[in-house]
Amino acid sequence: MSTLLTSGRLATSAPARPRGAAVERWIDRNLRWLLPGPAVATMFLLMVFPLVYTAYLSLHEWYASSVLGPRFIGLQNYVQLFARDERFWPALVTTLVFTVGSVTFTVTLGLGIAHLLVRAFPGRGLARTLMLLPMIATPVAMALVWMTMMSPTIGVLNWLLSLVGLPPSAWVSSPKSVIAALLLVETWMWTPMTTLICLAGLAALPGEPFESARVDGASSWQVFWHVTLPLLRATLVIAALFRTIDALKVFDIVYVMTEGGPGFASETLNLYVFQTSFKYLNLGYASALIVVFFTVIAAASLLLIRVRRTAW
Amino acid sequence: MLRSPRPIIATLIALLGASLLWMSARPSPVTAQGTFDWKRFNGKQIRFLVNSHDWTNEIIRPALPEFEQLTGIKVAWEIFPEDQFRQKLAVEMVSGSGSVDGFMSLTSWDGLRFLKAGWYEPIEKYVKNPALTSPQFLFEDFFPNTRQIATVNGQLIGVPLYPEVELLYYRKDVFKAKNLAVPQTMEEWEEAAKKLTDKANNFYGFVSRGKRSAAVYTLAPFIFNFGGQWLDKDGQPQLTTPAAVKGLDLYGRMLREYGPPGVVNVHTYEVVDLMSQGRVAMASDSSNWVSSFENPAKSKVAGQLGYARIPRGPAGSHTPLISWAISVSAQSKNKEAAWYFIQWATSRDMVLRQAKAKIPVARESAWKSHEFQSSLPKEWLAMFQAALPDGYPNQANPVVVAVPETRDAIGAAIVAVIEGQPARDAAEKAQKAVAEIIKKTQ
Amino acid sequence: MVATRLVRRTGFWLLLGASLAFLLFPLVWMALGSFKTQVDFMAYPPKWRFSPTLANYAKVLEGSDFLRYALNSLIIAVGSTLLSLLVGTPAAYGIARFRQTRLGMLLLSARMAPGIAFLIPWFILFSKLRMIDTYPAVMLTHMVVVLPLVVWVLVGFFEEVPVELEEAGLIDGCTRLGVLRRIALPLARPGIVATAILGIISSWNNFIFSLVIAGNTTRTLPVAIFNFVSYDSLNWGGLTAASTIITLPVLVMAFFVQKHIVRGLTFGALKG
Repeated sequence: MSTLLTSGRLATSAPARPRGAAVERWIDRNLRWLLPGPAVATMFLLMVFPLVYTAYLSLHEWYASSVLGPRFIGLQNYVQLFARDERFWPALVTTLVFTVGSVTFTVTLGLGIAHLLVRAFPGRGLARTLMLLPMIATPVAMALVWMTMMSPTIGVLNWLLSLVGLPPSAWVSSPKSVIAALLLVETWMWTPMTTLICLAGLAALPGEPFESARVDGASSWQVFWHVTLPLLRATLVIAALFRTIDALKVFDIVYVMTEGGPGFASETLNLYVFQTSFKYLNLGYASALIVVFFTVIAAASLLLIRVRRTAW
Repeated sequence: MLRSPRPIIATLIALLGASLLWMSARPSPVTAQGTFDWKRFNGKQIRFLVNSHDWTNEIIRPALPEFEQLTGIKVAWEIFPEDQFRQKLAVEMVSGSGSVDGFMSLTSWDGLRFLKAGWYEPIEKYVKNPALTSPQFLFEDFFPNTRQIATVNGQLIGVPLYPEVELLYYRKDVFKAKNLAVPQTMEEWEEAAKKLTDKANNFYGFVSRGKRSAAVYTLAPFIFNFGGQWLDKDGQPQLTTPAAVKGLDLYGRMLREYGPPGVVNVHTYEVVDLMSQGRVAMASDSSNWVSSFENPAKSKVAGQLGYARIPRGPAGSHTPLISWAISVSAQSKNKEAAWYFIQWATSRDMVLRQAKAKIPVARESAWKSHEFQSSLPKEWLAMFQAALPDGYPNQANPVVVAVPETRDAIGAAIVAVIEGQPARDAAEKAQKAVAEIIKKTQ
Repeated sequence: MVATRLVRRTGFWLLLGASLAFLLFPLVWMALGSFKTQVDFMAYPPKWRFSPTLANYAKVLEGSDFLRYALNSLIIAVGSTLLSLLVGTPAAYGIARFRQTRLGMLLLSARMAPGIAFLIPWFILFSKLRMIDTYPAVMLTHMVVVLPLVVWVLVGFFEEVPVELEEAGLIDGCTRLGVLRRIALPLARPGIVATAILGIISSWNNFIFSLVIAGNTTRTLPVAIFNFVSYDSLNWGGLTAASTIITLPVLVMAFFVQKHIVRGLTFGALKG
């Protein structure tokens, strides 16, 4: 503090000059509104307004390639969606299955790897940096690389399976295995994130509970189950929250690897919405799908946030 | 004062003869002068959105500087692979911004929808206008049924580029080694596929498209050959007729039993790859991959392929007859300049280049040219010409407005059957879905 | 005693090795494959020893406008990040100093919305403004992802600037704005740099917005790589070379900011 004051870097302003002082004072008084102003305005323009427009459009029928404009039809799109759309419910189920799988695998794996990285060892810095890479690498590019690895006939993954005596898998070429294959890629890509969150959580844990547990003669597993986990609950919920939101919204890897196929076996909600918007050009109906989709994500998030509050 | 006129006459005749000789020795037309003004739209910039194909990549793209030199028009020639191309084009045309001056379209797929959306600029009036169309263009040179393909609801909306039927490609060497005859009927076809499959050695009897939506095109002959059609005369789907169910069942079974693993992800590009790499004995797909197959740089089986018509069913052998066309966008602000580009790209000289590159052509002159006839396998030429009259124009899928959605619904049925579901159930599901789609959108 | 410790140590290294192997294998595979010839790549069982070739890289860099797309990715990434910093830095400072947590929550909820929710209206708007396939349009769309990221990370950094320093400045007669400019910003500068890098990575990797809003002029690398797949679907050498080129810059950038990545991805929510 003194260094700063004596270094002369902090120029003290001379007693207020008459002109311009009023402006400066006004700025200062209203700084709390002025500072976030541009950001809020940007978000409003880029996000809030489009969302409102989408909700508005969801009450209309509009095929973009038709010469007619949007036609108001009230809630008919929603009726169609819930009662008669044969692709919506499977897409919802696929999305939920995928999300639960993704959260389970990434958080479990992330917690495990975090345990490995929490204590110092030679090369830890390097290990931590290397561990990050799957998350940083461009998802689309890596999804395509995974495609080559998953080729049913000459892919290296099937070769690895054969090394341990397992039969080859069809990976993304069969409706039976496509979700599992996509989950493998998703887990690979996002475990670094959960690892980081769990690492931060683990590092912030107090030492006494562990010491007393060890003094009491608890085994490692007991320590983990009865001490670590309860203390980490909030952290795990955060990890689950972020992963849930991202997994519900998954797009890149599914679009690139399967486009929702084979058939519609891997069609998630996000993908269904995309096809409806930009392939079928059914913009009115797509808007209704988007509103429902957003509601699902918001509901899941709020649920998890509530869980987190009680976890404190 | 003139003595005998003979020396003068002789000189005049000599001069005349020399100038005639000189004029006839000059290089001919694409750069013609004369009454047609190629430089009329000098300085304009136009933008075309096109599908990735040998024609767009290997013929037109390298020749763009020639067009610019001829006309002074700058062309942005944007190529996208088919699925992305469709999305991109739809997105741009919907915006109505007029940023696209011309585009390619597959009339069996886009024709009705684009026409109803008002995206095509009818070009009949350009073709007939001598101020806008070079006398060398000669639209009559195009085969009549290709001109038919490029006509939607009576309006000429584009210039056809490369007509396609479907053919059966087979490995002559493998057939010979197993002493098998080329299948003539659909039963023989399944038999041959069975005999040729050798899973232990990663070699499969038959491959065709299995990917949802793309597979609808290669399913079509199976339905037609049993006597089925996509739609009835009222425009309602015919997917649950005995013919359609039989066709779907056979197609799915052949791919399931005798196709390579992962066939449900096979699009036309993978069909070509699998055949070119020598991993399958037979493939059915568009006739126009012949140039890839016979290219030793790309294909291991160049020279060993046989070409046959799709084996016939009780109703004969019928495949869809389709062609991509290149059109002027109705939203363009440079329609004439775009037309100039189109007539150059489909001029006799450019189409001849296309023929030389073994890409099928819609112009009779190019088709009959020595270059085309001698550069393509005789068998392919014969089969194509035989299949042409039996082709159903534009019937690659039901000709409706909402083609992508319809193709996805039928494609899902194909995938289901490949995966083992009974054809009857899959067909019923698709029938219901397509009827619903047609109701929503027609 | 020593035995169990040895067992534990071995177990630790085995597990660590296995985890890293899992996480790094696809990247190594990608890099290796980019040097294989087509024939080598198609071989099964996969070849681990082969004579490397640079042909794939040559093909990718020469023929297909790849460098132009890389430049687009860079321009858009830097542009959207700069814009986000411009607008987000003051907001982050405000949230940190004035405890405007509700504003922060609003920005967090931006993450909840799926990108597609904005694409239709944006698409219509940009079309009407003739802005499809322009740099400003694509940059604006990327801001939806980068701006919340920037704000949340910077909030963390500003919270670390000691309040006492600022108060000292105020006592000396500096305005609040001056305090921001002269004390907080310089102290937070390393954080701003880290944030910028995180923003650039995030924009570089974006796919869906570029897919719809960008065109030929502004096409970015993730979209461009599609051309490889469809037209030439078994050109794995080209594909892995292209993937390597696309991911290499962000992987390198990650090395510089690995300490700060947790902040960016959890939006500092860990602190509660």
